Amino acid sequence: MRVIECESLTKEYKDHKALKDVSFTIDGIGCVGFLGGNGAGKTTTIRILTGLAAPTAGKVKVVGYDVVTERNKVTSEVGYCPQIPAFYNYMTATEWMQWVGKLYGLDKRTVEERTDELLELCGISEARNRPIGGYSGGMKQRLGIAQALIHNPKLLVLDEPVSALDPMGRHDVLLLIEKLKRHMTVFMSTHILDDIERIADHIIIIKDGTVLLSSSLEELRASHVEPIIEFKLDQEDIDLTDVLDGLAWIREWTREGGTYKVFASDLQTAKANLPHILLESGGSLAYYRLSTLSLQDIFLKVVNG
Amino acid sequence: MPDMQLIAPLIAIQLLLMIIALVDLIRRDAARVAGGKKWPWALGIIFINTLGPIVYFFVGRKD
Amino acid sequence: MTSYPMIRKEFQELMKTYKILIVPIVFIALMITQPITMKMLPEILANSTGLPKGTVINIPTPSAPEVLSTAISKFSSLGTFVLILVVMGTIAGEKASGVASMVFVKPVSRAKYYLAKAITYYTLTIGSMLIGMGITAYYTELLFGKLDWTHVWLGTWMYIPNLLLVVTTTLCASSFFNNAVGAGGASLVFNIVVFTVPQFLGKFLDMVSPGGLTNAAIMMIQENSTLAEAAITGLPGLVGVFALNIVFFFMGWYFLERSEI
Repeated sequence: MRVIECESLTKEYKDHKALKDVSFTIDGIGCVGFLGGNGAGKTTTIRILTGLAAPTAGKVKVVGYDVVTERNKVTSEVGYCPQIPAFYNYMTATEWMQWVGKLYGLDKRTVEERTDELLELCGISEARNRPIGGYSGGMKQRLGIAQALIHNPKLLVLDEPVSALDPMGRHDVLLLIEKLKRHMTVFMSTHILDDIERIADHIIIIKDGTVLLSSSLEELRASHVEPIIEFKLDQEDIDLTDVLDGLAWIREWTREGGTYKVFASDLQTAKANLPHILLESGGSLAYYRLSTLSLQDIFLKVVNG
Repeated sequence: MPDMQLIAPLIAIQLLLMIIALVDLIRRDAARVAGGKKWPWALGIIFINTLGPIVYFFVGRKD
Repeated sequence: MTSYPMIRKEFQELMKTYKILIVPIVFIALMITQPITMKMLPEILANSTGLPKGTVINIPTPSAPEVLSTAISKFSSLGTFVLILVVMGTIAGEKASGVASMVFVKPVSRAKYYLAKAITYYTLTIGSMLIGMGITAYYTELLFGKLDWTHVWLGTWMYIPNLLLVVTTTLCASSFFNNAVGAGGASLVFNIVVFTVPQFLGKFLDMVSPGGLTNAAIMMIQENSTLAEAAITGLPGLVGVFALNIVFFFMGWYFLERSEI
């Protein structure tokens, strides 16, 4: 089933274009990491996906329904937690969950069962009868996720769910998302690559209101599997430029600090010869290893074209 | 003293407002009170007639 | 199905924030001061210095209906102010805090949300006014003598649409603005204009304006005219104020539908 289908989405405000061309599709369950810097258009896209804002042009379908014209069908299949979730501060977590359950038209027993289950899952059972006004940011974030799940949605949309949290809270929420993504699609925006590397199955990169890349993480890695040789000399003053440039089986190399990364066009030859050549240059090896491109490298490659 | 009888409703209203305001203030976290401190509000509610509680209700509470 | 929990939540909020007690109490306080000061007036004057010795103060004791009618006219400006304070944040504040975005991603249409707010605050206003007026009239009767309660209640009901107009326009401003103070300020300016300016714009506009309706309500309470006379005087005002209520109700709804949360 198509969970999300965005087709050349644009969004213009009076003075600027927040979204220029956002197109992507998401199928099946799993976690989608929606990556971009500040002001790239993440929150605007999410606001359109959840029906809070209308696109200037383009089409959005969520779980098969048009977000603009079939809003009611969309809301009952989607759960959403904003970056900083807000509640009626005088309510307790239990009261809020029960109220939300009623808004979805769930019967009393279902609501009570789901409330117990979700508050337990999200780790706020102990505070459930205290007013939300006294909660910490992390507790509000977890309650925000719990309440977005009360109607068992097919799609859970989370806007920067961990960026405001301390390391412990971050770890807990990521673990929670990891559990949830086994049963539903979790669409999560973030500006932190590590989060995506840890839990995402699909990655979408957005920059300046344009989607640069939408791909499963597996495919992305497969298409960039390029063995590289990474090494460092004890003697940082030795210049290897002439040596490396003179080798026919080296396609490209980079140096960052004292660390060299070598892309070999013929890996076998490189493995057999490079160590000797390096030692002959008069240096000694601090370390030497065979590796592949990290997600960070791939990300920089994609974003910088 | 007939005057006291005359203004009895006003005194009752004042006390009522004061009690409601104090109950609200006591049950509230300091973080949800304007200024972040409770005691200035308590003084205002108790010592400024009628206006103290009313200002507290409309300005002092952050919800 | 979902409008019921919205309204229930609003009433729950009135109770948790004590608005359900504060508004009636403040309304009583604003109105009941009038009979009390009028009763005490001769004494206050007698005790005040600056009068030459031997001055005989001779103020005719006002009748109960006269006292009550001044209570309503004294009430109107401060009562308006209090209502604006109570209503101004109800939508704007929720937009600013982000709760509105939590609510609108759920199957709650903006129409239902808006309607729930309107019904709640209309009920609060009507209830508070009836309680405030009832208690003030009762006390006035104790101090100044008999009242005709038919006149009292009819006059009160004639005046209530004006208070509802304050609620409607404040709700409308609250839909338009994203912060409570902006909404309150706009509503205050609007209400001052609409309640004071029309009297200078000719007889017709005065009659159909809120000010005209207030005058008719006062006339009803004063008991100087028959029920029918007072009612007929108030008719144009009722029509005008109802029309304004409807216009601003729908305008506020439109603002909310169009606003991006």
